[in-house]
Amino acid sequence: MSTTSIKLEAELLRKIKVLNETAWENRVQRPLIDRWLSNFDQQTDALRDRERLHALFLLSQFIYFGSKEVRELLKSLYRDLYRYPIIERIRRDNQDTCDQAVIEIEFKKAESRTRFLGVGNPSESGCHLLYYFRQENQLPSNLFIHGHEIFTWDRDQNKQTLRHPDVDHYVFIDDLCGSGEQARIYSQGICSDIRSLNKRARISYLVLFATDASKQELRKASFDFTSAVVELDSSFRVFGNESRYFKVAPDTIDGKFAEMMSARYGQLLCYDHPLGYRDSQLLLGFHHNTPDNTLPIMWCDQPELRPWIPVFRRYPKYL
Amino acid sequence: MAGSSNFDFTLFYKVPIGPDLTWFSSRSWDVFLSAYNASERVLKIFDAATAARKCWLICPEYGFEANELPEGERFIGESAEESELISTFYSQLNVDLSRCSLCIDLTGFIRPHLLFLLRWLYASGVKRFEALYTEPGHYKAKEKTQFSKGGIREVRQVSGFEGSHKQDTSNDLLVVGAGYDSMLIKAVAESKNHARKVQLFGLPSLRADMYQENLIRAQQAEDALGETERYFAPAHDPFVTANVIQTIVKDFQRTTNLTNLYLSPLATKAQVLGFALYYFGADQTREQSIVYPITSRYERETSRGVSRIWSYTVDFEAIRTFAGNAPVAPLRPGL
Amino acid sequence: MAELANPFAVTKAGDFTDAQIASLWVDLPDTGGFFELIKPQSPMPMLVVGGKGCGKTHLLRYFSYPLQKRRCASDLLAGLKEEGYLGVYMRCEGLSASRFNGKGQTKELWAAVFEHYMELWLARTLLEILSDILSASPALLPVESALSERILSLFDRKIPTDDLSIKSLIRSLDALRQNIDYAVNNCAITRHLEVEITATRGRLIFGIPAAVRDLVPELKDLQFQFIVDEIENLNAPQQEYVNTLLRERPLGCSFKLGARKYGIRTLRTLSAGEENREGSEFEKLPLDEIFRTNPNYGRFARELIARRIVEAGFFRGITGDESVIEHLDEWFPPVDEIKELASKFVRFESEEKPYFSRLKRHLLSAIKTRTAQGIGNESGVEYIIQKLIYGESPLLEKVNVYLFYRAWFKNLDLTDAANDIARKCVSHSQTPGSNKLYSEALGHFKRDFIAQLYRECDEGIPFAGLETFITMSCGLPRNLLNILKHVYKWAVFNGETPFQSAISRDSQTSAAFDAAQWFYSDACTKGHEGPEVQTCVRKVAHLMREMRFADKPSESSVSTFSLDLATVTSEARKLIELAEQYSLLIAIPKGQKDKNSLRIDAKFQINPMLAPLWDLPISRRGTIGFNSDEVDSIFTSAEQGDFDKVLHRRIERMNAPTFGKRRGKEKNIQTQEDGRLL
Repeated sequence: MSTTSIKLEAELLRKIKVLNETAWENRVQRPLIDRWLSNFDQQTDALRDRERLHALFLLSQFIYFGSKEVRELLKSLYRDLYRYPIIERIRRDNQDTCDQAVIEIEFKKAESRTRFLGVGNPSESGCHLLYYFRQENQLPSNLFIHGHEIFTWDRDQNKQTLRHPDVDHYVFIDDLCGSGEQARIYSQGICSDIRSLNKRARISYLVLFATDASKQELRKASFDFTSAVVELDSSFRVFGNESRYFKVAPDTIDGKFAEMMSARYGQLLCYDHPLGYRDSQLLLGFHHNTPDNTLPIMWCDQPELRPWIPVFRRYPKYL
Repeated sequence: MAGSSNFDFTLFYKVPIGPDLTWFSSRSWDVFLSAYNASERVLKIFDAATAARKCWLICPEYGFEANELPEGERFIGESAEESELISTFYSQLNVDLSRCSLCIDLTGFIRPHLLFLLRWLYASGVKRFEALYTEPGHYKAKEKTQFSKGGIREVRQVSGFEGSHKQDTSNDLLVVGAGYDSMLIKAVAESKNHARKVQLFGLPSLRADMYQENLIRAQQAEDALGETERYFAPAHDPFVTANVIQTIVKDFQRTTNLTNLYLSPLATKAQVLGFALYYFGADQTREQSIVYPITSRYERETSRGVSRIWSYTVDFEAIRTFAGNAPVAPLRPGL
Repeated sequence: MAELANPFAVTKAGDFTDAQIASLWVDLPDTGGFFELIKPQSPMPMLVVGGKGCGKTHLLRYFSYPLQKRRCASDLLAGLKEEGYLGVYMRCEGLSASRFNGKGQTKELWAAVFEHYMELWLARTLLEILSDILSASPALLPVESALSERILSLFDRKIPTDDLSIKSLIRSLDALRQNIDYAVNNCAITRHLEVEITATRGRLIFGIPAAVRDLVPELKDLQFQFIVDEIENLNAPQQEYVNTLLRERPLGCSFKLGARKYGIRTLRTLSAGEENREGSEFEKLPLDEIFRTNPNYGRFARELIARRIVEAGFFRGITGDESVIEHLDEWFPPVDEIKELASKFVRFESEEKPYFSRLKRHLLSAIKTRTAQGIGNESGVEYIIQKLIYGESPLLEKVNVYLFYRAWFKNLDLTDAANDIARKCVSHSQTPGSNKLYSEALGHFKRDFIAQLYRECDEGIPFAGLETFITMSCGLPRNLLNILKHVYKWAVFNGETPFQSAISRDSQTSAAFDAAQWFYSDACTKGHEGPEVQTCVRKVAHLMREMRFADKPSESSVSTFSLDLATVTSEARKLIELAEQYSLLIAIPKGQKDKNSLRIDAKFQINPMLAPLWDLPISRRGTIGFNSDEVDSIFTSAEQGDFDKVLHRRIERMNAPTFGKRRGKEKNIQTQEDGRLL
């Protein structure tokens, strides 16, 4: 390795160490990094060193949200995406009042007509987060239902009805909307069923993170309101034209090389989605899991084709 | 008096606008104030705003030469001391801001100047005004971006936010709005080295990666900070920031008898507004002050691009009503 | 064990509770310890000065009343009597002194207001202690009202109080002080300042001890020590007031002032502008200097470390500090550099070693210019290289190459020289010391050769071993703790188990680098000249590094420079002073005798904490003598100034092929990028 590369390696390790101590909950220590780097096993020393340096660079750019941070984002989701729009409406309806008592009464009424749900199967992250969402925002458990509890079967009339007819706001919660595809598909059945039974019902889809790419797909979904705590614009696609990761990268780091390397190993690990699900190209992970929209070289574990040691392991949906 | 209950600042209106600037075409104010620097996110907004009087405040810390200054109405500050600068500016502006519609772009201000301006407006009876804050696309050199320049002259209380303090400092608390500028964090933490410290981080950050960048920078001050607890408020939201400071104080008082409270807003200007609002709405008998590490120079351009623009409606009247129209310490009744 | 907290996480006494100050206290292992240094019973005021992190606050707090109370838990009055003093501790930071300034008011008015404010502050601190003593000693309660009455009589006008108790007095003082707060703070908006001075200067703080002595026989023999810490927070007029108190103190009252080195702005007093003189009005305790020269500093440092480790919970209840001390050097082992380099040089078995490649390059270019005596062609060059090779030891090869450059510099016949060096090398390796010149070169420059060898393997010098870290701390214990804090963090990150097994050299070296970076940036947190001082120090360090890595270094292990302070510009003098006050430079007490004029020049060492940033030595050997032009070009606020020329002139003389002998137009010499700062 050249002197510059040696220095850069030391600098990257130093940055990763700091991230590990401050943001990554001490999950990524040197022995794990070394094992992960050993995945990059080109034959010549020069190429291997170059790959490992680029891998280390990508790792140093990884964005991770630990348990405390995810809980904080869940607070933000409730406070900023759910509560604030209601407060704003109440104030506007009441001559811009700042009377906290009046506002609180009205808000509680609206909240009692709301139900929060996770997106997808109860074992998936959307539902998993719901527990923390309730804890962090100190919400009563009766505001939470499973998807299958939206409806009930009216034996007398022999038809499906809403289990809570007084509810007029259904809020679906998820951690990440990567492609938007899953949310769209999920929404289509459930939203039309709700609306057919209550035309006034409002259906929101609130997520912690959403990519720019998902916005288009979500427009096709049947939600009344969609919003994200954190929006990931196209600059968060690692190898995209507008990538923010290589704008101030050291000279030794070559975006094209990093892309080819990630794609080459990615293909061995995850043939259909070498740079993350539907080419999302994210470098994002959470305390509870790493989304498949992130580069597979970061999270892939137990692949059928190639043994791989992940640095931020992903626990797959279906084992 | 506010007593033991807290004012809920998150009731105030806020709206994200842009990055396209069409929102401005439907707005106009009597007076629009902004602090000049070379960032795209400051210049663009000034151009887009419509007002009967649009005025640049030129802060000496940016070190602009006469030939670099913008056209139009401008006030060139000579003294960097905030009470001096703002009171002179206000007298030259020669308009009763409590009687006109006012919009202030917070983005380019030097923090102590912004704080004293807010203090002045609050004391002058301004009922409400609109504040703007523009998020950057990214900071110039990510986590290595430099903001303040030169050494730190002193760490001192900001004029108008000095308060009166107890001599007993056994349970003092310092709340640092931790931004990227680790040198400032270091300096303020050292100046209050006996106090327990809480870092208030911007989360959600302005952009997804900025929270981690922020942690990396703040970590450079870890030796000065010692053991700290982390709290969070959105980097773009002054109102949640003010509420979170209330929570911090409450949490601290739950276990300890708080002696003195020091606040140091070193992060986004939106959060600086939040710190000031907290101060105005807080129990004025509490021993508290805003402290700031003073540097002689600031970088003129620290960011690239324009992301979201926020408009906040700051309702001083509501805070005053809540506080029973009590004057903000250090002002005694009758002053 | 790895779950335990980093024992070195907190490095500042300000962060400690009184209990921690007590539990982490380690005395100087000299007879008398710190008590003898601080002399708390002495009536002579003392100025405790030192660089940031020398332990002033820990020391001064140890002698303050709250800690005395802990020590005298069984019988407070008897305990205080035995200690013989009462430590009234205050930090100047609490005064927020900078607000007594500007806002359209005169300096004289501010001075008067500040004096009164500080007077009230100190008096209140003392009253708080008295109140505590009274409540802990019921036998004294009967004197409380008389004491209160006497204290009230010290004011120039009647002060309202609820009753004649010390607690009421405290409330009254608080109210008076708050009124000043209001007036001072409102002044920013009203531009008007009106403050009532309720007591004459000195009346309260000297009057209260007198009252106590008169009315409380149990406390009559105590020396009242006002321990005023962080004096650097006061401006010059404010310090004049403190100096005046110190000068006008009555019997039974004295002062211990704590200050950073840069913190003393004046020694003037308000007594007709007279200055307090060291030796007659006060004595000075330069704490870090004392640590640096104390032969027991190493032992003290080890005790400090062991105390931290045990207090953090490692080995609690299993073993005491002493047995931890025994293991410290095993846990922080030094590096066997020669062995390490031998393994690193294995890679050069099949390729030419970098120092030979460089020499060959120089010789080939010299052949063309006919400046290499005794070598005519390429095969001659090859012959030279073969002669200088000594395969078993890269270190001896470095000696060979160095001696060869020296011969070249002296214009000797280089083929003869190579033959001679080869003979000496063999002789030395067979019988070390058999050749004086060879042994001297090796002995003298060994550390530099090792540093060069590491660089030739593309690596930085290792910084490891407890002794190394103690040397690096240079009398500032906080620096030592900071290094160890980073060592612990790196060890955990690297998957090691601190205090169970040896910590790797990589963890130690990375930590030393982090601590160096912290120190470099931290030294200048305060003061607007900070960045300028940093730039100056960076230039000196850069020059020293270039010297160290030159072909023929003129001095060995250079980390020190000398200069005649009388002949340099006032700006340079000021920047040097500041660098010394920030501890970036360490003043060497006896200076350096100039070889020609026999004048004693000032001498400064680059703080060894900075060594990892520029691969400098931590020990002090060679010294560069700077002339005034050189000093002025280095110590200037200009970012680069004439520094490049100075650097070029200095380094050119030490590098082949010209050794600075070819005069004429300046050429740019290639120096490695500036420092290893990230």
